[in-house]
Amino acid sequence: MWNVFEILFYAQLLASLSYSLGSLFYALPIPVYGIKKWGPRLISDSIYVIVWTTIYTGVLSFAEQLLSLLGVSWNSYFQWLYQVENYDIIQYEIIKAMIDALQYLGGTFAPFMLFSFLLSIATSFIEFLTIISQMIYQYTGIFVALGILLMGLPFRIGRSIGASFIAASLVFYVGLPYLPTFLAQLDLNILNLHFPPNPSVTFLLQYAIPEVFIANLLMPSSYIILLSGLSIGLGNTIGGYGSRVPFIVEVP
Amino acid sequence: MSLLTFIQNLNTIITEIAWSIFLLAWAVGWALRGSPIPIFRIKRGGQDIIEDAIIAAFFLAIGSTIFYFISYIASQV
Repeated sequence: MWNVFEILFYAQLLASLSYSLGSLFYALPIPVYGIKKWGPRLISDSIYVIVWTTIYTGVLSFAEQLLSLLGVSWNSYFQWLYQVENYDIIQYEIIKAMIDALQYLGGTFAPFMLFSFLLSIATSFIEFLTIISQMIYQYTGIFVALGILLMGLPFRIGRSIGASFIAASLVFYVGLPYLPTFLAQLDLNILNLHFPPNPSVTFLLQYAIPEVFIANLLMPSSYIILLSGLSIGLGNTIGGYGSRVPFIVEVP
Repeated sequence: MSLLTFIQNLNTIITEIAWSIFLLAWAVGWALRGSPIPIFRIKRGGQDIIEDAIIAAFFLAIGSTIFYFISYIASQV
C-alpha cells in the first residue's frame, strides 16, 4: 500500500508540472484565446492543489473535530452494527424454527416466511454497510490524498473525480457514525424492538414486519442517499469550475 | 527511470521550454510592435504578447522558486 505522504508528494510534483505548463501557455506568442486561457487556468489549479496538500492533515483533524462535536465515534458505530447484525441473525433463527414447527403442527406460516425473508435481506444489508464502513474508516486518509493527486493532474483531467473522492470520503467519514443517533432520534432503533416469546400473526403483520423494514432497510438507505447528496454537493464545491484562488489570474 | 524522476525531468524540460518561449514571445512581440506597418491591431497584438510574456516570466520565476523551496523542505523533512 502506498504511503499517504508519498501520494501527496506526487500531487505536489504534478502541481508544479501544471504550473510550468501554465506559464508556458501564458507566454505563448499565439493570440488564440482557446489556447491562452489554459495559462491562468493551469496556474490557479496548481496553486489550488498546493493549498489542498498543505491543509491535508488539517482537513482530517477537522473531520475528527466534527465527529466529536456530533458526539459519536467509530467504535460505538461498529458496536452498534455488530449488535444489529447479531439481533437480525438471532431473530432469523427464531423465526426459522417457528416456521419448521408450524409446518409440522399446521397453521398460517406465510407471514413468518415473509418475515424471515425480510430479516435475511436486512442482515445482508447490514453486512454490506459494515464492509463499506470499514473501508471508509480505514482508507479515508488515502482516499483524500488520492483525490488531491487526481486534482493535481494537468489540464483538469481528474479534477471532478478527485473532488468526488475527497468529498465522499469526508462526508461519509463524518456522517456514517451518526446513523445510530439518527435512527434513535426517529425512534427507529431496531435494538429497542422487543418480541414476545410467541409472536402472533397479527403482531408480525402489524408491527414487526413494518418496523424491521423501516428501521433496518428504508431509513439506513435513505440516510446513505442523503449523505451521497451531500457529498455530491461538496464535490461540486471542491472541484467546481472557476478560479478558486483569492486573486485573479486572467488573460488580459 | 522511476515515476518520480520522470515527472521531475518533465518538469525541468517544460520549465526550460517555457523560458525559451518567453524569449521568443518577447522577440516576436517587440518585432510586431516595432514593425513599420501602419496597422494598429498588429501593433496592439505585439504589445499584448509582450505583456503576457512579462507576466509569464514573473509567474515562472516566482513559481519555480517556491516549488523548488517546497520540494527542498519536503526532501529535508
